[in-house]
Amino acid sequence: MDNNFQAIVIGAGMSGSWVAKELCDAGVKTLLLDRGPEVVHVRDYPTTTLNPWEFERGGKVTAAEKAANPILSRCYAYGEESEHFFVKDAEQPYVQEKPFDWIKGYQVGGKSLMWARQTQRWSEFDFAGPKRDGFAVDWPIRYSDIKEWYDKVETFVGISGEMDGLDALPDGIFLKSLGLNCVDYHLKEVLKENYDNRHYIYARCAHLTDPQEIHLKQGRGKCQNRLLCVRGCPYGAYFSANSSTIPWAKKTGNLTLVPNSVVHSILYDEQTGKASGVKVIDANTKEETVYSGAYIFVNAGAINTNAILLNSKSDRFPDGLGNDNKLLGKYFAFHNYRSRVTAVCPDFSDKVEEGKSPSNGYIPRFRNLYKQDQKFKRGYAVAMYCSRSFDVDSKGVGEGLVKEFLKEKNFGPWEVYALMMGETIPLESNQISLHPTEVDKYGIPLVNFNIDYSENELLMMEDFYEQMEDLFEKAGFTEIKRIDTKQAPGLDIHEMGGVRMGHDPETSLLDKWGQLHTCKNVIVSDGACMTSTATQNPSLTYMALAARAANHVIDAMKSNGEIES
Amino acid sequence: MKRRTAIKGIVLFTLGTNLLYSCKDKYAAIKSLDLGYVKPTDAEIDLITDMADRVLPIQIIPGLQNHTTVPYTLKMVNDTHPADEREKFIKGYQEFNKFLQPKFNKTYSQLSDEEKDQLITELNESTDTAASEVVFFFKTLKSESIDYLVRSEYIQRNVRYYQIAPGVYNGCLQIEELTNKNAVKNG
Repeated sequence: MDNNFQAIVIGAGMSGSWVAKELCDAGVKTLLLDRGPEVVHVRDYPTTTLNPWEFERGGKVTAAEKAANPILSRCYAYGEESEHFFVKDAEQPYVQEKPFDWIKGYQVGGKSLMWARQTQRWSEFDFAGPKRDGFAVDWPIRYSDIKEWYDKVETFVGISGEMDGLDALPDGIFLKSLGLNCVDYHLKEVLKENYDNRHYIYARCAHLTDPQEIHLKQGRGKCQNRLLCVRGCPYGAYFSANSSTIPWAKKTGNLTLVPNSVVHSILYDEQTGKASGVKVIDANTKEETVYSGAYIFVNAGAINTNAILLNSKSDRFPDGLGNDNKLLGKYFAFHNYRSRVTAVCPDFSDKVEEGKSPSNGYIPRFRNLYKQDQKFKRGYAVAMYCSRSFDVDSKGVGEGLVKEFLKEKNFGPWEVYALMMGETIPLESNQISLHPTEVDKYGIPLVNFNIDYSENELLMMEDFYEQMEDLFEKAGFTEIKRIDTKQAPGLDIHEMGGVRMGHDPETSLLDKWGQLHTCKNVIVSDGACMTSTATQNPSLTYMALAARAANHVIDAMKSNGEIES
Repeated sequence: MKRRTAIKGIVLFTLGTNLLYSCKDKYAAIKSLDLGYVKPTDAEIDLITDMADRVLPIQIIPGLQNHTTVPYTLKMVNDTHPADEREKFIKGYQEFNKFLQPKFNKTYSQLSDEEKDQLITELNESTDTAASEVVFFFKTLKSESIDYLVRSEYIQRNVRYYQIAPGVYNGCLQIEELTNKNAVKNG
């Protein structure tokens, strides 16, 4: 294989696959590297059509696996049906100066196979937030810069949603909504009657509820309301790189995909003042290969993108590529998902859901929205889950007990679960770095985590509890309970920052296109580029930023005559 | 490839348990599961099976006459319970007859049907920590048997309206409109 490419993309997940798709569509000969094995859509979803009675261990992982994987076992999505998509703890050791749960999906497709598929756009409030509220640095872009890329991504991916007309959550290109359930609609009314500027909406999600021609061209079909997404979807109904962007890019003939490629570092050419390629270690054979490319896109996932740049040392960049200001790895942030409030809804006992919805209720951020009016900065969105399950009296034994399980339509009350999705403030003290001596099996330094919650997050949690309790009381709910999981940062699986975008090379790493200020042919558009976190699930924004960054390079390549216009 | 091995394992397990349901040699069938830790003797298998069939006699369900919850229970305890629970469960059935001595002066197999039913009722209501292994064994046997029943094809399709691909979502359906679209006669 010729090891020279016009562009190299590191990471075949959510954002990297978007970069590859855009480049390949434009005729750029692209190398797409992923450190994990190939996962072919449908072929490599071993549990996707299994029924509950066909699982060997009732859906649970073994006690031995659980004991060997204390970090991974804390992830809600890890089980017998999905364990093949998750990286075991021993596979990727790391150092925790402070506790951090790093949940990983090392495979072609990355975490696009395991994500929660929630896709809310950022608003102007989010991009302008750091400047208005005096934290981090000013984003070098605004909503108007990214709107067309949200449009493009949403059209291709397929987003189910409703036109809500909200300042905090701009509308997009939506496929039809599946509607909410009766408890959601009740909460929507209660919110409307009792609060100003709070809205209860149908959460937008990346599911094909009404596939359009562009989706059928990808070979994807309509969502079947299984909600077995974490197994991989045989219909391609939810967006994954495996069902969508990667096969699309392959069809152009411009893509070379090389799985099992662990990127050691990016190589810097002192003569040209540009990155010249990447050094790769084969995950199985440990053999080293160097690939060269004119543009290097780093989309390895926020943590590994930081790690690769930190490990890319040269005479020009002794502290890591682009790290003149020594801020690489700092201002690392996440979402605060520690807090929940649960309750029971005593009404609607004659109603039930049929089928499963990939969406749920959602309350966009309402705190500090138009102005700072709370004792904490920023705010939180709320994901609301309302459901009811079978309610069997299992106290007895014998035939009577069996007959309890034969009672039809024996539903318990509706249960309600509010999850806080809190914005965190990126702090310089929240940092990932490379350990000075400890290395992994490839000889690459281990990632060292020094990340924690701050006082602002704790104040926000208290407000969330109070507001949800008030809402639930007004809704007539009972058994209202607060939960603080006290989980470590990371379990939200929304790692962001460390290679933040900004105007000023003194205070940021990337320019407004995601190019390293000091090495322009290296581009970052995954979670690592995020200047702040907002409250929204971030993948949609990563994809939009990735498409935007790729097209900026494509425009430059056209101008330079590197590809045809 | 690991994924293919996983599928193979699932297929073999399903075939194995189906074979068991129609096989009279329950000892050989349970031993064929090749459990690494939970290895009851033939007499202990008799005890566990008899007790399971009394705690949750799923055979009264038309579609589950030939089913037993025991292989699933033993597999789950062996594979998914932490070591301390697993050892407690094993000790529970191993010392069961010793536990019966003070009260009945008989082994489990020597008890009458009435005595067995009385014993099971007492164990079900017991919070006796002194006999914690035996009680733990009983409670685990019951809970895993329930899990087997709930996950069975018969209950999933006939009682819980399970469909692997419903193809529809209605968030406000009247309960009486909920229909069983995929019932089965045999689990």
